[in-house]
Amino acid sequence: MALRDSVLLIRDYENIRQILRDIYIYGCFTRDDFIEMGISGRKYDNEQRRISAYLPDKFIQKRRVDKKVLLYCSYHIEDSEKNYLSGTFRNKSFTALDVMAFFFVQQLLGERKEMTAPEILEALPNYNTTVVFTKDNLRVKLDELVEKGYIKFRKEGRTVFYSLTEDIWENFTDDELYDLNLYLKFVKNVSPLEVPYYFLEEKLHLYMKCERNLEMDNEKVFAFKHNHFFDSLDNDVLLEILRGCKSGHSLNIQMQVQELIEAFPAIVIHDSTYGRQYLYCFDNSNKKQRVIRVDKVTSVKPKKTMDSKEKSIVEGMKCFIKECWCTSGINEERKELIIEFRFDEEKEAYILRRIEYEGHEGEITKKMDGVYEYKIKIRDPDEMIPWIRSFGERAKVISSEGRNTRETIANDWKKAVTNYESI
Amino acid sequence: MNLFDETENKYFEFISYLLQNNRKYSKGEVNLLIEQLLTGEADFDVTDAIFSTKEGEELVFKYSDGQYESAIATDFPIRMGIIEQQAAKSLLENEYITHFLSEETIEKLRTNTESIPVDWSTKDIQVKNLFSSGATENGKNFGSIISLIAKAIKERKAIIYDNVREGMFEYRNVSVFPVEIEFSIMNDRFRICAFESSQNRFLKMNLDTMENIKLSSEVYEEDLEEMYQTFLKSNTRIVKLDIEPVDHVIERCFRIFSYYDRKARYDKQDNKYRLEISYLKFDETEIIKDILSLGGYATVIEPKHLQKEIYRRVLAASKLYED
Repeated sequence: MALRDSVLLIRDYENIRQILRDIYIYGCFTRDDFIEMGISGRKYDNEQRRISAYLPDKFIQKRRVDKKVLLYCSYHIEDSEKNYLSGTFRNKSFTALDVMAFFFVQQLLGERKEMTAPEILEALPNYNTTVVFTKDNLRVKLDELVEKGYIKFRKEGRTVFYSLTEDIWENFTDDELYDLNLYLKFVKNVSPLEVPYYFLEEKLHLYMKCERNLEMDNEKVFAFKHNHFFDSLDNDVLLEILRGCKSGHSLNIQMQVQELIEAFPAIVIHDSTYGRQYLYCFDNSNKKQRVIRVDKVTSVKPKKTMDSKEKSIVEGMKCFIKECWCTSGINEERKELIIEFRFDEEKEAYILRRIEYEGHEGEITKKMDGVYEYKIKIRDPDEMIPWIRSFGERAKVISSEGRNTRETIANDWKKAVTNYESI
Repeated sequence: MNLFDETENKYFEFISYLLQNNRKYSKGEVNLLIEQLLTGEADFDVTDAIFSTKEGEELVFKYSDGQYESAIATDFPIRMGIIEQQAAKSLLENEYITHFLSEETIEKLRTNTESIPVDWSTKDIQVKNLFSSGATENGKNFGSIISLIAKAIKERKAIIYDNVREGMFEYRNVSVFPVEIEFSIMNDRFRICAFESSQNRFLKMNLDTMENIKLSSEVYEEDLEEMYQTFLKSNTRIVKLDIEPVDHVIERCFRIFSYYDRKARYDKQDNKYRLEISYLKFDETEIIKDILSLGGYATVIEPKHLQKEIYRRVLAASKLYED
């Protein structure tokens, strides 16, 4: 048996991303539906086999609809602490050389404070007949381990000494580690970027068990509401975008079915209602501001350091975030939207709290008992339609300065009435 | 470093665990640990390669006398990779940190991660449509409270607290057994789900209004978790929705209900999506709000009482615009 025979481990996460997203969010597509979406039957068979193998049985399930099998994820808030989707990032393929170098080098450096590459080479076990460590392949592996943060080096003249990276938890008490573990259980679910914290929690868990002999129970503490786990499927893309934001690099961005563009990243927007993530940027290839959905991006690579003129373009774009409801209205001026809210102040006091908590600091004025006027200046009032509709008969759009928000909502309600009356 | 990296592979973690205390393992023990510790289905091509028994093919374990042992007779040191180190450092910029860690622990984390080069920051993510006045905004610091409640959950101990909201309710010195801490990401609020044994009922409270929380020594002997699951099961309801196949609506609808247990089907003949959502009775107001947000594109098919309620409300909403 050889590692290369594995059909489950993969080189590129992109292989499973879209199919897994559709299985998790929709869970209603059969093999034929995926073929209609442009995914070959063979690819679907391979990837669904992998996805099923990565996830626990209780989470990913099969059912039969109209004689066709479909995969879906069984979600329950009581099990939400686990964040199973992040775990799919733990299936990257590896070679025998990868695994042997990773463990042997760190084991050797755990025994001795510092070692040179020739000393490590000398000490490495050499019983495997196909994986033979040489000066060259060891140097590559040492460089990789340095880059990945597991070991470090220092130079003395022309000699390079390698040592283990510091144990960052060394002076933490056991109780502090338990607190950190609890905190990570929380952050790996709540942060818009989840996978790095998922990795950290898993590794801290291992550290506590192995280095401290601490008992680690699996007792559930949290249940998360309104958690869009599927965002973790794009965390590798998001991380590259965040690196571009921090370093001030322009990015080469490849999207599904679109030309490669060069973008100056301004900020990432995470919408907590629908769990969509966007990059707000300046598209330098087409010379325009743009909002790009992170889940439509297939690859991100840094291109070049932005010069001061390019950085000032991005700086000038930052006010947009405060002026839009979420991401709509890049090229628009702000418009005033006025809504009248009517409700029973005694029995439905929560309505006023909802407006205060959810209304983006719009101005609220009491007109009379049970009647409030809400005003907000926003780039695209139409983007607020789902929120306004969520109040049902308690919210009435009065005006939206040249936008048809009122008419759109009126027509929506008419359509809804027709739907119910035709049942 | 890419996020999708082999050193984060689950088999690397598994091997790290086995390479401790100079332990030897029989084949049976290895198979048992594979079953217990690895998430998902084991990949036998991988496990057979890692635990090869053939001379010249062994990787990090040597096999002799029916036992696997580490090829290098020393414990594997557990170190954080760069992504994990950076994640540890970035915890310092997370707004919830003071709800979980003491000042002393925060300071230790700051000192120990000072030299870690960080090339990303979650501060470059702007979260939109988060409710205001929540845990990140209201200035309230839960300090060690969350850790205390977690301890109570694990040890099945009671907590004693006051819960006062002026003009609305006042409870003093109440004792309950917490079963979980619920956190709503959109509402940005912690709520405590607990069992009140004196009233034989489960209840849910906003942590915001709870004060003077103390750990009690009283232990609940029965299986609270099982009781809670039974309680949840008996309070679970199902709503069936028909959704029109308009791309942006379908996407919004499925995303908004993605944190409920649900079953969906696409009916090609009728060109409709049918979504069955399981929800807790106490969340019905929220379900109604979400259904209304979809306007005329989502129609409640069952249950009838919810269908009638939504119809009543859309009819009333429609009348608002008749003038």
